[in-house]
Amino acid sequence: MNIENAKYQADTIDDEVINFAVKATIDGIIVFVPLEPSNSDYAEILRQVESGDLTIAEAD
Amino acid sequence: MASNAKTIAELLNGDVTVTATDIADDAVTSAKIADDAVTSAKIATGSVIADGLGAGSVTATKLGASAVTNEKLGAGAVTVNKVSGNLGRRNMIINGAMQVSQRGTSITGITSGNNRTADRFSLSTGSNGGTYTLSTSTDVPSGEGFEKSLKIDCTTAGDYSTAGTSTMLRCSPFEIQDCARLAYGTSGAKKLTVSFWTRASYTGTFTALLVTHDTAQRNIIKTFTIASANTWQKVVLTYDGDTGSTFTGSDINLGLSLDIWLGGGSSYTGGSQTDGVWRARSAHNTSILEGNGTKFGTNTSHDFYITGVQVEQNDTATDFEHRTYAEELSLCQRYFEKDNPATPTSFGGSLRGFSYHPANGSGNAQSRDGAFTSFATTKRTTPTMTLYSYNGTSGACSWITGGGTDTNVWTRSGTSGFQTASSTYRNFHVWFAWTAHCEL
Repeated sequence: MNIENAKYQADTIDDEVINFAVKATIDGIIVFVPLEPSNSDYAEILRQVESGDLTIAEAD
Repeated sequence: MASNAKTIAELLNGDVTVTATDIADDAVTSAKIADDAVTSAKIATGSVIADGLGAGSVTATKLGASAVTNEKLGAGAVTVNKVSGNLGRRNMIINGAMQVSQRGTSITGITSGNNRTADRFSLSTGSNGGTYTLSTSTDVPSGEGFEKSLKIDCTTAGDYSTAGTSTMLRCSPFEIQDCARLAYGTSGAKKLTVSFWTRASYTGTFTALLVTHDTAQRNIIKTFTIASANTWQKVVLTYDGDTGSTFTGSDINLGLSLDIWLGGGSSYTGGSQTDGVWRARSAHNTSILEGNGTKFGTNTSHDFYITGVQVEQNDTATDFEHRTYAEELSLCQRYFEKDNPATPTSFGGSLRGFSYHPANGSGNAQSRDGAFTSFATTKRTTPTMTLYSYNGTSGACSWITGGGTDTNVWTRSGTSGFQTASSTYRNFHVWFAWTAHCEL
């Protein structure tokens, strides 16, 4: 699975910025991946982050 | 002398006929009857009643073919407990007849993992494993009630020179909570019988694995042989239950899968294969393809079809359990749902496959004012969302009256639906196609 351009999507609740998804390009398609470990895409993102193959940029 | 015996006087008087009343009680024992002396024709109608049969004396081998008809069964004689297996919802596989293909009916140029046309069935290969087209076919076994099959067609030959490459079809993997019925990890672990119809241009021996994916990573190997090319055949494989696997993870995680291996590199052809025995995957993986020499995909003439896939908690295979399209679609949508064209190219001015939402946001992409869309089926877990603009650009939406492509869009999903908004087109309605994906 080729994952690129990973960036957190965040919301602001009571002045607190909370990430809720990762926007990334997976195999050429832009997707929104929830921060849910049972989601296989997010599990793969975490695996690639842990292995050093992927970095997730902070939200704007 | 018994009172009913023939007397000498009677015999001297010429009364030589011996009737049943002349034979003493218990005089004719089984030992005095010649083999095959008592035929069905010599037994009076109604003379053999249930009370006259010894316990266990009527075995299945003593019953003639078709001897037991419905009319001979007493009312209430066949109870549920006397029927092996489960009568309804026997098939644990979803979309076993390949009825549902939400993502489209053909994918070309496959050289890597997790490719799906028919829902719940994914084809994976790797470096030097060949290039494939995966498609939904109308080539089916005759007279079995199937309309579709899944076809794997090699379009560029590989050679499996990369040791770790394998070509494998994963068939409708099961969630942990759906494996509870199997009682794995206990002495009562249930047998599973796998059956499917297949045909291939390539004759040889293939491997069908059951694999547990939770705490105990184990598998069990069975092989099947395609002896006649281009001929549909039914494969039946029965697997013992696994007393060594336990599922301790979340109910919605991957528990068990049926994997059909079509070919692989040297990482999978060594060791010593032990068919029909549950072992740790680390011990078994090196020998998955040992001995069968399967190298599907090393010639462009190779193709493989499959349909009627059934996995049932039983030690024999029953007929395929056909379900309606609507049932199968709903089951598939737990893992994937879409509201878009099969191939997300332009959906132009037609109303085909898109949704529109007000985006009356407050002016930033993180606005929470986007409308909510409900899924048709509650998802296994929070799905990955993909949005497409009118021209098929992913990660984008379009302004409903002006078209355009806006990539400044966000979406937030849950298991029951999702919310989307655009910052560029705030205060306007936006439209987009979408997919929700949470396959195991």
